[in-house]
Amino acid sequence: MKTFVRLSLLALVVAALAFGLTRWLAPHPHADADEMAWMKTEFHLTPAQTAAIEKLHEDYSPVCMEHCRLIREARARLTALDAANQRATPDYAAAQAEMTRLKAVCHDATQKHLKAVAAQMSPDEGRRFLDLTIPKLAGQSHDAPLDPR
Amino acid sequence: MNDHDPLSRVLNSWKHNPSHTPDFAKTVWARIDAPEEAPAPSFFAQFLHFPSHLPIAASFAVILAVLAGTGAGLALNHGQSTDRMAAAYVRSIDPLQMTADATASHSHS
Repeated sequence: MKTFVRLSLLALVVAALAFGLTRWLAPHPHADADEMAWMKTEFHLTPAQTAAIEKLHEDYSPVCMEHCRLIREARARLTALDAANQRATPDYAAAQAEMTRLKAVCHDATQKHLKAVAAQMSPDEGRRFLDLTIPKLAGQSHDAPLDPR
Repeated sequence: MNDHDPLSRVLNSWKHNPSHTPDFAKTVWARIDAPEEAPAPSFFAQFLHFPSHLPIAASFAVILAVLAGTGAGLALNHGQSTDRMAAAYVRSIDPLQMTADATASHSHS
Protein backbone atom coordinates (compact mmCIF):
# COMPACT_ATOMS: atom_id res chain seq x y z
CA MET A 1 0.00 0.00 0.00
CA LYS A 2 2.82 2.36 0.90
CA THR A 3 4.51 1.59 -2.42
CA PHE A 4 1.26 2.26 -4.27
CA VAL A 5 0.86 5.63 -2.57
CA ARG A 6 4.47 6.56 -3.31
CA LEU A 7 4.08 5.51 -6.95
CA SER A 8 0.85 7.49 -7.27
CA LEU A 9 2.49 10.57 -5.79
CA LEU A 10 5.47 10.19 -8.12
CA ALA A 11 3.14 9.82 -11.11
CA LEU A 12 1.16 12.90 -10.04
CA VAL A 13 4.26 15.04 -9.67
CA VAL A 14 5.68 13.87 -13.01
CA ALA A 15 2.33 14.42 -14.76
CA ALA A 16 2.05 17.92 -13.29
CA LEU A 17 5.60 18.71 -14.40
CA ALA A 18 4.98 17.40 -17.92
CA PHE A 19 1.71 19.37 -18.10
CA GLY A 20 3.32 22.59 -16.88
CA LEU A 21 6.32 22.30 -19.19
CA THR A 22 4.08 21.56 -22.17
CA ARG A 23 1.81 24.52 -21.40
CA TRP A 24 4.82 26.78 -20.92
CA LEU A 25 7.18 25.62 -23.65
CA ALA A 26 5.06 24.08 -26.43
CA PRO A 27 4.14 26.58 -29.14
CA HIS A 28 0.45 27.47 -29.18
CA PRO A 29 -1.09 26.31 -32.45
CA HIS A 30 -2.54 29.00 -34.76
CA ALA A 31 -0.72 31.68 -32.76
CA ASP A 32 0.24 33.66 -35.87
CA ALA A 33 -2.41 32.43 -38.29
CA ASP A 34 -5.12 34.59 -39.82
CA GLU A 35 -8.71 33.39 -39.63
CA MET A 36 -8.80 31.78 -43.08
CA ALA A 37 -5.51 29.92 -42.51
CA TRP A 38 -6.87 28.77 -39.15
CA MET A 39 -10.08 27.47 -40.74
CA LYS A 40 -8.11 25.69 -43.44
CA THR A 41 -6.03 23.70 -40.96
CA GLU A 42 -8.54 23.36 -38.13
CA PHE A 43 -11.41 22.10 -40.29
CA HIS A 44 -9.23 20.23 -42.82
CA LEU A 45 -10.55 22.20 -45.79
CA THR A 46 -9.80 20.98 -49.29
CA PRO A 47 -8.67 23.60 -51.84
CA ALA A 48 -12.20 23.53 -53.34
CA GLN A 49 -13.80 24.09 -49.93
CA THR A 50 -11.32 26.88 -49.17
CA ALA A 51 -12.11 28.60 -52.46
CA ALA A 52 -15.87 28.29 -51.87
CA ILE A 53 -15.57 29.74 -48.37
CA GLU A 54 -13.37 32.60 -49.60
CA LYS A 55 -16.05 33.37 -52.21
CA LEU A 56 -18.71 33.37 -49.47
CA HIS A 57 -16.59 35.83 -47.46
CA GLU A 58 -16.20 38.09 -50.48
CA ASP A 59 -19.95 38.05 -51.12
CA TYR A 60 -20.76 38.67 -47.47
CA SER A 61 -18.30 41.52 -47.03
CA PRO A 62 -20.50 44.27 -48.58
CA VAL A 63 -23.54 42.96 -46.67
CA CYS A 64 -21.59 43.13 -43.43
CA MET A 65 -20.33 46.63 -44.20
CA GLU A 66 -23.87 47.81 -44.92
CA HIS A 67 -25.10 46.33 -41.62
CA CYS A 68 -22.25 48.03 -39.79
CA ARG A 69 -23.20 51.36 -41.38
CA LEU A 70 -26.89 50.99 -40.45
CA ILE A 71 -26.08 50.06 -36.88
CA ARG A 72 -23.66 52.97 -36.49
CA GLU A 73 -26.34 55.34 -37.80
CA ALA A 74 -29.00 53.94 -35.50
CA ARG A 75 -26.61 54.17 -32.56
CA ALA A 76 -25.70 57.75 -33.45
CA ARG A 77 -29.40 58.65 -33.64
CA LEU A 78 -30.09 57.12 -30.25
CA THR A 79 -27.11 58.93 -28.76
CA ALA A 80 -28.23 62.24 -30.27
CA LEU A 81 -31.80 61.83 -28.95
CA ASP A 82 -30.41 60.86 -25.56
CA ALA A 83 -28.14 63.92 -25.52
CA ALA A 84 -31.13 66.12 -26.42
CA ASN A 85 -33.08 64.72 -23.48
CA GLN A 86 -35.61 63.09 -25.79
CA ARG A 87 -35.78 59.70 -24.10
CA ALA A 88 -39.50 59.92 -23.43
CA THR A 89 -40.45 60.85 -26.97
CA PRO A 90 -41.93 58.64 -29.71
CA ASP A 91 -38.85 59.39 -31.81
CA TYR A 92 -36.62 57.75 -29.25
CA ALA A 93 -38.93 54.72 -29.02
CA ALA A 94 -38.89 54.46 -32.80
CA ALA A 95 -35.10 54.70 -32.89
CA GLN A 96 -34.88 52.02 -30.22
CA ALA A 97 -37.25 49.78 -32.17
CA GLU A 98 -35.18 50.33 -35.29
CA MET A 99 -32.03 49.42 -33.38
CA THR A 100 -33.62 46.22 -32.09
CA ARG A 101 -34.78 45.33 -35.61
CA LEU A 102 -31.31 46.00 -37.04
CA LYS A 103 -29.68 43.87 -34.36
CA ALA A 104 -31.99 40.99 -35.23
CA VAL A 105 -31.30 41.43 -38.94
CA CYS A 106 -27.52 41.48 -38.39
CA HIS A 107 -27.66 38.53 -36.06
CA ASP A 108 -29.70 36.48 -38.51
CA ALA A 109 -27.47 37.49 -41.45
CA THR A 110 -24.29 36.56 -39.59
CA GLN A 111 -25.78 33.27 -38.41
CA LYS A 112 -26.92 32.51 -41.97
CA HIS A 113 -23.41 33.28 -43.24
CA LEU A 114 -21.85 30.97 -40.65
CA LYS A 115 -24.24 28.20 -41.66
CA ALA A 116 -23.39 28.77 -45.32
CA VAL A 117 -19.68 28.47 -44.47
CA ALA A 118 -20.33 25.33 -42.42
CA ALA A 119 -22.29 23.83 -45.31
CA GLN A 120 -19.11 23.92 -47.41
CA MET A 121 -17.31 21.71 -44.90
CA SER A 122 -17.75 18.00 -44.26
CA PRO A 123 -20.81 17.39 -42.03
CA ASP A 124 -18.78 16.65 -38.90
CA GLU A 125 -16.43 19.59 -39.37
CA GLY A 126 -19.38 21.84 -40.20
CA ARG A 127 -21.13 20.88 -36.98
CA ARG A 128 -17.93 21.48 -35.01
CA PHE A 129 -17.45 24.84 -36.75
CA LEU A 130 -20.97 25.94 -35.76
CA ASP A 131 -20.53 24.65 -32.21
CA LEU A 132 -17.44 26.84 -31.96
CA THR A 133 -18.68 29.99 -33.68
CA ILE A 134 -22.43 30.40 -33.07
CA PRO A 135 -22.10 30.79 -29.27
CA LYS A 136 -19.66 33.65 -29.91
CA LEU A 137 -22.15 35.74 -31.86
CA ALA A 138 -23.25 38.88 -30.08
CA GLY A 139 -26.62 38.34 -28.37
CA GLN A 140 -26.54 34.57 -28.85
CA SER A 141 -28.77 32.83 -26.34
CA HIS A 142 -26.59 29.67 -26.35
CA ASP A 143 -29.61 27.37 -26.30
CA ALA A 144 -30.63 27.24 -29.93
CA PRO A 145 -30.13 23.88 -31.62
CA LEU A 146 -27.52 24.04 -34.35
CA ASP A 147 -27.88 22.67 -37.84
CA PRO A 148 -25.02 23.00 -40.33
CA ARG A 149 -27.38 22.67 -43.34
CA MET B 1 70.19 -32.32 -12.98
CA ASN B 2 73.17 -33.23 -10.73
CA ASP B 3 75.72 -31.53 -8.49
CA HIS B 4 77.97 -30.90 -11.42
CA ASP B 5 75.38 -28.85 -13.16
CA PRO B 6 76.23 -25.14 -12.70
CA LEU B 7 72.56 -24.19 -12.43
CA SER B 8 72.02 -26.72 -9.67
CA ARG B 9 75.01 -25.36 -7.81
CA VAL B 10 73.65 -21.84 -8.05
CA LEU B 11 70.20 -22.92 -6.93
CA ASN B 12 71.62 -24.85 -4.01
CA SER B 13 73.62 -21.88 -2.92
CA TRP B 14 70.56 -19.53 -3.02
CA LYS B 15 69.10 -18.69 0.33
CA HIS B 16 66.04 -16.53 0.97
CA ASN B 17 65.69 -14.72 4.24
CA PRO B 18 62.25 -13.06 4.34
CA SER B 19 61.82 -10.09 6.62
CA HIS B 20 59.83 -10.68 9.72
CA THR B 21 56.19 -9.51 9.43
CA PRO B 22 54.31 -10.38 12.63
CA ASP B 23 50.79 -9.55 11.30
CA PHE B 24 51.27 -11.19 7.89
CA ALA B 25 48.47 -13.75 8.42
CA LYS B 26 46.18 -11.11 9.87
CA THR B 27 46.71 -8.91 6.83
CA VAL B 28 46.02 -11.78 4.46
CA TRP B 29 42.75 -12.68 6.23
CA ALA B 30 41.68 -9.07 6.30
CA ARG B 31 42.12 -8.87 2.53
CA ILE B 32 40.17 -12.12 2.07
CA ASP B 33 37.32 -10.88 4.28
CA ALA B 34 37.07 -7.43 2.62
CA PRO B 35 34.09 -7.17 0.19
CA GLU B 36 34.94 -6.74 -3.43
CA GLU B 37 34.54 -3.12 -4.46
CA ALA B 38 33.16 -2.79 -7.96
CA PRO B 39 33.99 0.43 -9.75
CA ALA B 40 31.12 2.93 -9.62
CA PRO B 41 29.16 2.95 -12.91
CA SER B 42 29.39 6.10 -14.95
CA PHE B 43 26.44 8.50 -15.25
CA PHE B 44 25.63 7.28 -18.76
CA ALA B 45 25.81 3.67 -17.68
CA GLN B 46 23.35 4.43 -14.90
CA PHE B 47 21.12 6.41 -17.27
CA LEU B 48 21.05 3.72 -19.92
CA HIS B 49 20.20 1.05 -17.39
CA PHE B 50 17.81 3.09 -15.30
CA PRO B 51 14.88 0.67 -15.55
CA SER B 52 16.92 -1.99 -13.82
CA HIS B 53 17.41 0.38 -10.91
CA LEU B 54 13.71 1.19 -10.67
CA PRO B 55 10.84 -1.20 -10.22
CA ILE B 56 9.00 -1.83 -13.47
CA ALA B 57 5.81 -0.38 -12.02
CA ALA B 58 7.58 2.90 -11.27
CA SER B 59 8.93 3.08 -14.79
CA PHE B 60 5.47 2.55 -16.26
CA ALA B 61 3.94 5.05 -13.87
CA VAL B 62 6.50 7.70 -14.87
CA ILE B 63 6.08 7.03 -18.59
CA LEU B 64 2.28 7.11 -18.34
CA ALA B 65 2.41 10.27 -16.25
CA VAL B 66 4.64 12.02 -18.80
CA LEU B 67 2.32 10.99 -21.64
CA ALA B 68 -0.80 12.05 -19.74
CA GLY B 69 0.65 15.38 -18.64
CA THR B 70 2.02 16.23 -22.08
CA GLY B 71 -1.20 15.14 -23.79
CA ALA B 72 -3.34 17.22 -21.45
CA GLY B 73 -1.09 20.25 -21.93
CA LEU B 74 -1.18 19.97 -25.73
CA ALA B 75 -4.95 19.45 -25.74
CA LEU B 76 -5.51 22.49 -23.55
CA ASN B 77 -3.17 24.64 -25.70
CA HIS B 78 -5.01 23.56 -28.83
CA GLY B 79 -8.44 24.10 -27.28
CA GLN B 80 -7.59 27.60 -26.12
CA SER B 81 -6.04 28.56 -29.45
CA THR B 82 -9.04 27.20 -31.35
CA ASP B 83 -11.46 29.07 -29.12
CA ARG B 84 -9.48 32.31 -29.51
CA MET B 85 -9.35 31.96 -33.30
CA ALA B 86 -13.09 31.17 -33.48
CA ALA B 87 -13.83 34.31 -31.44
CA ALA B 88 -11.56 36.39 -33.71
CA TYR B 89 -13.27 35.00 -36.81
CA VAL B 90 -16.77 35.71 -35.50
CA ARG B 91 -15.69 39.20 -34.44
CA SER B 92 -14.50 39.84 -38.01
CA ILE B 93 -17.92 39.01 -39.54
CA ASP B 94 -20.38 40.10 -36.82
CA PRO B 95 -21.48 43.73 -37.37
CA LEU B 96 -22.75 43.99 -33.80
CA GLN B 97 -19.34 43.16 -32.35
CA MET B 98 -17.52 45.25 -34.94
CA THR B 99 -19.56 48.36 -34.22
CA ALA B 100 -19.36 47.79 -30.47
CA ASP B 101 -15.59 48.10 -30.76
CA ALA B 102 -15.03 51.59 -32.09
CA THR B 103 -11.38 50.89 -32.90
CA ALA B 104 -12.11 47.79 -34.99
CA SER B 105 -11.54 48.05 -38.69
CA HIS B 106 -13.81 46.31 -41.14
CA SER B 107 -11.80 43.47 -42.58
CA HIS B 108 -12.79 40.09 -43.93
CA SER B 109 -10.16 37.42 -44.17
